[in-house]
Amino acid sequence: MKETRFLMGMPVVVEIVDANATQESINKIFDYFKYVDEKFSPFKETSEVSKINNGLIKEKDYSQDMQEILKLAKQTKEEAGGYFDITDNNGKINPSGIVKGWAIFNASKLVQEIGFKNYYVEAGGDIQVSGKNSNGEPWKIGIKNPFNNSEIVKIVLLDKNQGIATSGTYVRGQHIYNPKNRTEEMTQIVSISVIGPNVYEADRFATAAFAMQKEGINFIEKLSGFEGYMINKNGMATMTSNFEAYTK
Amino acid sequence: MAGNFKKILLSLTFVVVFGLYVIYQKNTSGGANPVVDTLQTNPSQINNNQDIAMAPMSKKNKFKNGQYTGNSVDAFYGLVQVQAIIAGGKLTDIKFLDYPQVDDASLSRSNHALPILKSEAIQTQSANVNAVSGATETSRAFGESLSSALSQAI
Repeated sequence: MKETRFLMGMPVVVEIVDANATQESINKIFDYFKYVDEKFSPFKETSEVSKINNGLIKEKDYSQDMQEILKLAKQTKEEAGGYFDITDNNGKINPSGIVKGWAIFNASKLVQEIGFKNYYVEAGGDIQVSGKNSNGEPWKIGIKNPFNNSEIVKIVLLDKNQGIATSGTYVRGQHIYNPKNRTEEMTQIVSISVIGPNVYEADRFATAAFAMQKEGINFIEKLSGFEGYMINKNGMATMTSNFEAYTK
Repeated sequence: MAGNFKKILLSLTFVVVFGLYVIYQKNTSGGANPVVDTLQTNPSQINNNQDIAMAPMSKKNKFKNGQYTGNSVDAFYGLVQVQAIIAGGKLTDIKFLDYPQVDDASLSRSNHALPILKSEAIQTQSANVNAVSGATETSRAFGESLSSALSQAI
C-alpha cells in the first residue's frame, strides 16, 4: 500500500509492504506530518515557531517537541562546527533544517509501532527505509541527477533500517550567489547525498555538509556510520571510502 | 479537489520553467557553461514534452528586456527568491536574491589527513528504483519564483 500527499510544501510518500497494511494506518502517518507542519512551519502564523518568533510564547511554555527540536539543533550546530544554525541574524528561528528528518524518522517509528516491518517513509527526497521492498529485496534508492530532475545517477541498496537524505539544488549552469556575500558564487557543489543510521542523522549532516561545499564530503568521511556521494557543478561525483558497499 | 488542482498547477509550472531552462541553455553560446560540456547526461534525453511545451512560447512571446524580481517562495528550509535578467529578449541570467542555507559565518575546519576519495563522472542510470533521494523542495520554490518573475517580462 502506497500513498503520496503534498504536505509541508513537499511530496510525502508512505509505502507499507506488509500484507495487512490498512488505509487507517496510512492516514495516521500523514496526520503526524500534518501535526508537524502546523507546529513548526515558519510560514504559518499559527505555528508555535511563528508564535515564538513573534514573542507570544515564553521559553518555559515551549511544547515538549519544540524543546526537543531546539536541543537537537543546538547539538547539530556543535557537531557540524557551526555549519548548521536555525537562528538568523535577527534572532528568529527556522528549525526546518532539523524538523524534516526528525519528522520522517518519527513517522517511521510510528509505522513500526503500529506493527509493520517492511516500509519506507519519504518527504521531499529524504527517506527512511525498514525491512525489504515488495519483491523481498533491499530497498533500491536512486540518487537524483541534480542537472535533470527526471533522471537518477546512482542506485544504492538499503537492507537495514537506514536513512538517506540529499541536500542541494538542481539548478544548473547559471550563477547562484551567496546572499550574505553577493560576489561569492555558492555552488561549486550542487548536491550531496548522505546514508546514515536513520534519516534524521542523514538529513542533518547532509544539510551541514552541503553548507561546507567541497569540504562537505570530508566531513562525512570523518563521521563513522555515514557514507556520502557529492556532485559538483561539472557533473563529477566524489564518494566516501565505503560508499560503494551500498551500490552492489 | 483543490489540492489536486494545486498539484497540477505546480507540475505545469515546473514543466514550463524547465522548458524555459532548456531554451536558456540552448541559447547560451558555447563555452559559457562548462556543465554542458562535461556532463555525461545527453541533453537530448530531456523529456520531449518539456521542449514541446516551450516551443510556442519561445517564438511568440519574446521577453521584454529588464530585470524582474520573482515572488519569495517557501522552500520549507527557507525562502527562495530569484531575479530574471532579460537582454535581447532572452533570459540571460538568474540571480538568487534569497536562498535557504545554514549559517556559514563561523569556523573553517582544519584538514586532518584524509584518504583520497574516489571520484567519477556521474552517469544516468536506467534501472527501476523504489524511491529517489534528491533536493526537490528548493527546485520547486525556484521554479515558482522564476515563473512569477518571467510572467512580468511577457
